[in-house]
Amino acid sequence: MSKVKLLSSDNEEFTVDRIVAEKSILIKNMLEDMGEMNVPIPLPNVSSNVLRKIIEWCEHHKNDLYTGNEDETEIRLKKSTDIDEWDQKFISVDQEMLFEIILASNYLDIKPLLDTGCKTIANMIRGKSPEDIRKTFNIPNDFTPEEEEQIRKENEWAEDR
Amino acid sequence: MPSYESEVYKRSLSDMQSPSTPTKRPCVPTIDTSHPAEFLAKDRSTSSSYPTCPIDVYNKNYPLSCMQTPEHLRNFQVQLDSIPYKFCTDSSVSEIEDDLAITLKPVSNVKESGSHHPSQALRIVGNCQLFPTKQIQAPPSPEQEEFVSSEEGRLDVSVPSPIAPMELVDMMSCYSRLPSSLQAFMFLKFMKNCDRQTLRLLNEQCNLSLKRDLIASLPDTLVDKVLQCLDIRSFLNALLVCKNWESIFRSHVSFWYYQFVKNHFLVDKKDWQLVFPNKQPPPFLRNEDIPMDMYPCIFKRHYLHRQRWLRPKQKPLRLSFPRHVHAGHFVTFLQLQGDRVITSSDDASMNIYDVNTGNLVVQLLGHRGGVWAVQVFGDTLISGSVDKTIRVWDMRTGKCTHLFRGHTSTVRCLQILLPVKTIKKGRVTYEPEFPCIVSGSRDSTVRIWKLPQPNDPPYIAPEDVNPSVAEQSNPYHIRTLSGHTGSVHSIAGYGDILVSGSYDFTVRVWRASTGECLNHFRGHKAYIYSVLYDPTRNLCFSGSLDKTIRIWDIKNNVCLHTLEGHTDLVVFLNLQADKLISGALDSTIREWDINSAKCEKVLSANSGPISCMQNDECKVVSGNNGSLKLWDLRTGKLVRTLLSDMTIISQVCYDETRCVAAVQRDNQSFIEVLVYRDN
Repeated sequence: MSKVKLLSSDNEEFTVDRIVAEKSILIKNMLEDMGEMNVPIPLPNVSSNVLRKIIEWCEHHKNDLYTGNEDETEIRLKKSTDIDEWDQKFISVDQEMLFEIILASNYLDIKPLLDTGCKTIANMIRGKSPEDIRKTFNIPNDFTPEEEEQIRKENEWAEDR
Repeated sequence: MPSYESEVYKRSLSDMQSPSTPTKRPCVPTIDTSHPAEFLAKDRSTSSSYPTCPIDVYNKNYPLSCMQTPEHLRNFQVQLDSIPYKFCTDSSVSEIEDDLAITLKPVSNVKESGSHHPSQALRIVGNCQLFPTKQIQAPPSPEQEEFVSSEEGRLDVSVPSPIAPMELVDMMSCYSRLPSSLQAFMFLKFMKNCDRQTLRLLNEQCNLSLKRDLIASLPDTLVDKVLQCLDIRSFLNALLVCKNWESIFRSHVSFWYYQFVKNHFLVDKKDWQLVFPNKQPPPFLRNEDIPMDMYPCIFKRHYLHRQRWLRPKQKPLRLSFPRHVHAGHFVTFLQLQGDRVITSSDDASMNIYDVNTGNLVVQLLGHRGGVWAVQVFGDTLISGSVDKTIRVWDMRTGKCTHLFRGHTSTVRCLQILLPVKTIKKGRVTYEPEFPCIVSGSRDSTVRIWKLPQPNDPPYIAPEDVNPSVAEQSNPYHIRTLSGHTGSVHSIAGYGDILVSGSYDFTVRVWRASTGECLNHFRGHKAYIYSVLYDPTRNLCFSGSLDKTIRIWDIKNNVCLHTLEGHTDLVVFLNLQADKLISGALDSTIREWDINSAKCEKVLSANSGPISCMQNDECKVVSGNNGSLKLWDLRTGKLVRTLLSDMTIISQVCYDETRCVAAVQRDNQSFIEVLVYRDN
């Protein structure tokens, strides 16, 4: 199986199977355009610790069917919250790493990983009280009680009936 | 968290106080076979005469001490006297790992530069500057024992210390000047020297510091993706987090668009009017027709509408009032326009009631035969009758202002065509140029008339002259479309295109401005009862007594699909985005996908023909067999029966809060009004 070399922003070189690297549509397109490359592919937006993590994900998912051509909104509407078990464990990282993984998967164009990342953030918000959300993200509350009341009133229409 | 920092700081100071305590700093390594490599490393560092590191790095209690030096550190470069150096590549990992003494080698080749740069052994001392080993750091001055910290004044600790206080300040400033990779390296070294208590504090602090306002830091497109995974309640809840979140969330109006689509909502004419108050909407709106930023408001309207009808908290108010019709006749038209309930009957009467009180507001008197077709436009009402006339009424006064003759038989259907802005040959024009009335008759013709404007003088066509002569002198008559060979039962149109369905089993498509017949669709095997025209796809639909529905492609002049499934006459047709809703005498309502031509839902009302129906994207209200039923169109399930035990339900219509039905019970005709309220 042919190998691909990847170079992180901090100049660490990773050698991975081509099938693993091609989980990234960015790299896949690059390889298709340029053919076999002996020089490592530079990924100036991804640091080694994030790249290592992302390669771990790609390794695990290397045999997943590629679904890049499906209608995006359709998929999104179908499954908006569920994350598979392995991914859930994989994505249980500190928020800084989560942030980096999301940015990197967006840059590398790895849609399923990006979706997992975005869903993870959504899960941190879904069904939580504003106070819980503030704690989760370490955000101070800058609303006055009056302002809060105003917004609550505006939102009343969506209360469960 | 200053408290954490100061605590860590104090602890670190007190640690430094006693660097020479043997327990803290085992200068002479005792035999510990569990870490042979590290002892070896230390041996080497001392034997190569590096000054001993002033900070204890040999505490083996922490798992951190086993941590590997990151790869990038080994590639780290520094400038010394403008000569680039890098970490000595042949030095073992453990050397870098376990000692703060570092060997640097010049990057440049000796031969190229012409001068020889010797390798530099560096050590890192208490104030944390890089020095070549030859330059020995001056010992800290003993006078400076009072330590008063930083400008912030957070710390005011008096510490007797062998390390000069100023060096600590220098250490901090030096640390902050280091490249981040070396900072990381340094910090790992510090961490290895921490006790468990400090590590725990560090750990807490780290977790807190690693928290991130992810929503505020992600780019817009990614926030969009996150928000798409949220439900409405969570989204609204998150507005309360902080002002920044509120403004970010509010700016992502696409959330509401996705929710709208997810809920299978579909924009309607009311939404359109909100956005384009002066523009004629196409007959079947699509969600893309409405700008994205309107969706927060539009979503709310549709959501509340659905909740009100499908999940009401309380029973609707019910009001019934009699609507007298002659025996054997029934209500042929019913429409709710504001508070007006407009009715017509095949006994020639036309009555307008107040929906709130049931009071008769006005009667439109004049037709001499049953009224089968009515169209409403503002305060103007147009009616077509068995008496072959078309009459135009002012609903405010009840007066007939215009009367057109020309048809030689019953006027069976009416349609108002409003001007639609189009661009032809780079010029903005309107099609038609002015509002028109289109009438279809049992005489097989379709006629186009100019719609009288509110201030036009009255015009009553004379009764005693030949209809064709009367028509010629009528300034409102525009043209007559001939071609059908049977009664014209249904008309649809938009802009310059008219579609007519006839008892001659065919559908014709006309250009209104010229009268040219563009298509003549043959295929149905029986009377055609209903037609629809979709200008966006350039399709028309027809429902027939032959139990089928056909989809016709106007541009390519072909029948695209024949929808089979109904077992009786298809009377009602309506289009909702990609779904065609049909009601038939076989007591079912069906939903078809117009692209796949598959029947996707069957709403089965058990028995009795569907006598009337209205639907939107969420629900269907239909009358059959004396009961009025409310269906959830998304599930295809019956939600509840709104009215039952009627003899006949002949007409139904609803708006946002009210449902009005024309019924017969106890041998009398009534108008039933159901009012849904919020909360």
